[in-house]
Amino acid sequence: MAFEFSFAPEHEMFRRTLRGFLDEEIRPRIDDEFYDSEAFPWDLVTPMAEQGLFGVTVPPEYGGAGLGEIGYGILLEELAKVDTGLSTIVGAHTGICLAPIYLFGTEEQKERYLPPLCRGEDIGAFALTEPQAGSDAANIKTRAERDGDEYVLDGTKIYVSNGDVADTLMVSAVTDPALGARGGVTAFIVDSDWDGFEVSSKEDKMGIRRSTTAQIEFDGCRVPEENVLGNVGEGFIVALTALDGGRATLAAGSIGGATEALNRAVDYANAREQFGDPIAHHQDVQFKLAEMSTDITQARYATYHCLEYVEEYYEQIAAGEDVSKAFREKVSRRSAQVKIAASEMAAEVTEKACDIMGARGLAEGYGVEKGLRDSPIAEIYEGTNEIQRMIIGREVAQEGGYAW
Amino acid sequence: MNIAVAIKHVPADDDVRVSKKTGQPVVDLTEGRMNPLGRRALETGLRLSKQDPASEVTAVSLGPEEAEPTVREALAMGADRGVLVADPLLEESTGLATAKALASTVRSLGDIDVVIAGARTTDRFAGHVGPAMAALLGFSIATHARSAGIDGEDLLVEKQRRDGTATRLQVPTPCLVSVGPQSPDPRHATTWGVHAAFAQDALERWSIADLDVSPDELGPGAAATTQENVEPVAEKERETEIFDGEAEDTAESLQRRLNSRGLLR
Ligand SMILES: Cc1cc2nc3c(=O)[nH]c(=O)nc-3n(C[C@H](O)[C@H](O)[C@H](O)COP(=O)(O)OP(=O)(O)OC[C@H]3O[C@@H](n4cnc5c(N)ncnc54)[C@H](O)[C@@H]3O)c2cc1C
Repeated sequence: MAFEFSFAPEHEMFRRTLRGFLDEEIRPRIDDEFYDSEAFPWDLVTPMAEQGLFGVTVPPEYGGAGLGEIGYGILLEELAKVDTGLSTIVGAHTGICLAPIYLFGTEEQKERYLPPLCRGEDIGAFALTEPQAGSDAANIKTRAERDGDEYVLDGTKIYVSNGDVADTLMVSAVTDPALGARGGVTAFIVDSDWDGFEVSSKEDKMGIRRSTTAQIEFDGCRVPEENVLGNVGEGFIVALTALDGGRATLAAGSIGGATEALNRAVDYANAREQFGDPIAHHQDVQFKLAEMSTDITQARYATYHCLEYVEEYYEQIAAGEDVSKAFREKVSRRSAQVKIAASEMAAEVTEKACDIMGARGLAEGYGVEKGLRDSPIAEIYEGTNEIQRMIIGREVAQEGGYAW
Repeated sequence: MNIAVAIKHVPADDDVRVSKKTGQPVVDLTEGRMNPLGRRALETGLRLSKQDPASEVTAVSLGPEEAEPTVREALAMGADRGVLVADPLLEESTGLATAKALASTVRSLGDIDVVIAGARTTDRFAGHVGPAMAALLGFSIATHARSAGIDGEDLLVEKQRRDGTATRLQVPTPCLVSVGPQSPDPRHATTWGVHAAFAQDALERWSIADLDVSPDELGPGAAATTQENVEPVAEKERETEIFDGEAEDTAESLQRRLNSRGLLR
């Protein structure tokens, strides 16, 4: 078949067993109420780690499960149905910390860092954003000054998901201020127990409450030279490559969130009677459900199709092959597109679910209120949707509509 | 200890659809799953193997090709070997014929000390395949086990009766143990397990040519009993009503409802 679109038996089984695990072990321990605690949910993370959910992409020789990017998409989709905070924890750990170490790490770095990260004994995080450098990530100021065979890190990183509990962080810092993002940024693997690393505060967010977000101060933090990830001066490429895959899997998470909202709305519409009839019998409600389900289906196809590209892209990088510029751009663009499509679709679907549920759509404890608080984040992190549009738009304006 | 676990691939849907033409249940395996008690049998086997590091657990399934996911899942859960004996004849075999084929598979595996099976399957609900297999193999047997442990050359099998009393049996090996619903909850396959289950050569594919039974002994013609027909038993319709609110109000609502139906006097 020229255009095959189905999951491999391995991935089918993964989804089935994952659902069984989540429905029996995790979902019953999460209610739809506002998660008041600011604590990292170790009670859920520990069984998830034992189940092997913290290293799905990485091949078994480094301790992972070798289920690739499609497997990782399935994981985030199913996790987000249960809780978007949990999918964010796994996403920050796997997609933007574990992945760049696997893709760009030396053999020693991979052997040292990947197995405990894959087992979830170590938690990973990714620190790029700074107070003055959000969308304009090229404007980071955290300095990495060379001193003998070490680099000394000074600066502030904000909005670091998992930052307060992470053992291992992927940190972008400036090694050559004159060059800036074009050759002056380097990626480092940093252990959080080193001197000069401090978690200074935590965010109190509206949504994805189980995912903690921390501010980190580097104050003379000494990083040995062997912890440079990739080549000196190529840190921006390391970060952007991680985000290329990250965005596509975020899209998978949005699809999970949207599916959950749809399911809640369907259950409610069948149970709720007004004027002597379940509201699901009304055409207007059915049309809403039809639109929700149609939008989810479209985003789902586009996302998993994109994840196939990401898989190939990462395989090429991991094998040390030269990735063509055209292919790199294609993957970047696709992942930016599915991130926009899926995150905005999820927000709309969640809003429609809220409409269908009337007052209970906004009330705590029915799931959709939580969805409304959780869904907007995917439009912001790993590059806002506006920034994605800016990049796609610039390319389309230059090149016109592109074919496959 | 060498352990073989017999696991059937059954339809995912527990509601049996009966063919109007033949009066027989329609077995649709396009959406299939591991028989729930077979899953518990595997869990029991995996726990047993923990007590003896030298033991090997082999999951065995007979049936059509569609049974493959069940054997793979058994591997994913931790079975050391997974054998799928696939033949259309086996799909149509019932009771005694299945027991013969399974017993022959166990003999072909060689050196099996313990066979574990679910007490029954969700589709056929016969409950005699395990005991028949034990008889054919000449193994001792313990049925409806809640747990099993190794005790020297024997197994210690515990079963729980409906009245709550427990019975402990000392069962000499080789033996067959059938497990009931009180046996330990089955584990979920880990991601590592799922990956390993799809490694090349992880699954061993046998055919009936690998067994020491003749095709005449298998298939629908070889059944010792015939299933006359399957029909639904009319059940009284039940209703559920949930009262929301404070305990006092719900109690009052409940009382009113029971009163109105003449159920309280
Ligand atoms: C919950 C959460 C978790 C996060 N986790 C991490 C993490 O783990 N690691 C990490 O490094 N970062 C993380 N971030 C940071 C995130 O990536 C940034 O918030 C994001 O890149 C946007 O930056 P900003 O918030 O500073 O917004 P700004 O850049 O200040 O943007 C504000 C608004 O202006 C728009 N805008 C900016 N520039 C332009 C332009 N040129 N054209 C059009 N519109 C523009 C933006 O789209 C946005 O709407 C996280 C953020 C959140 C909220």
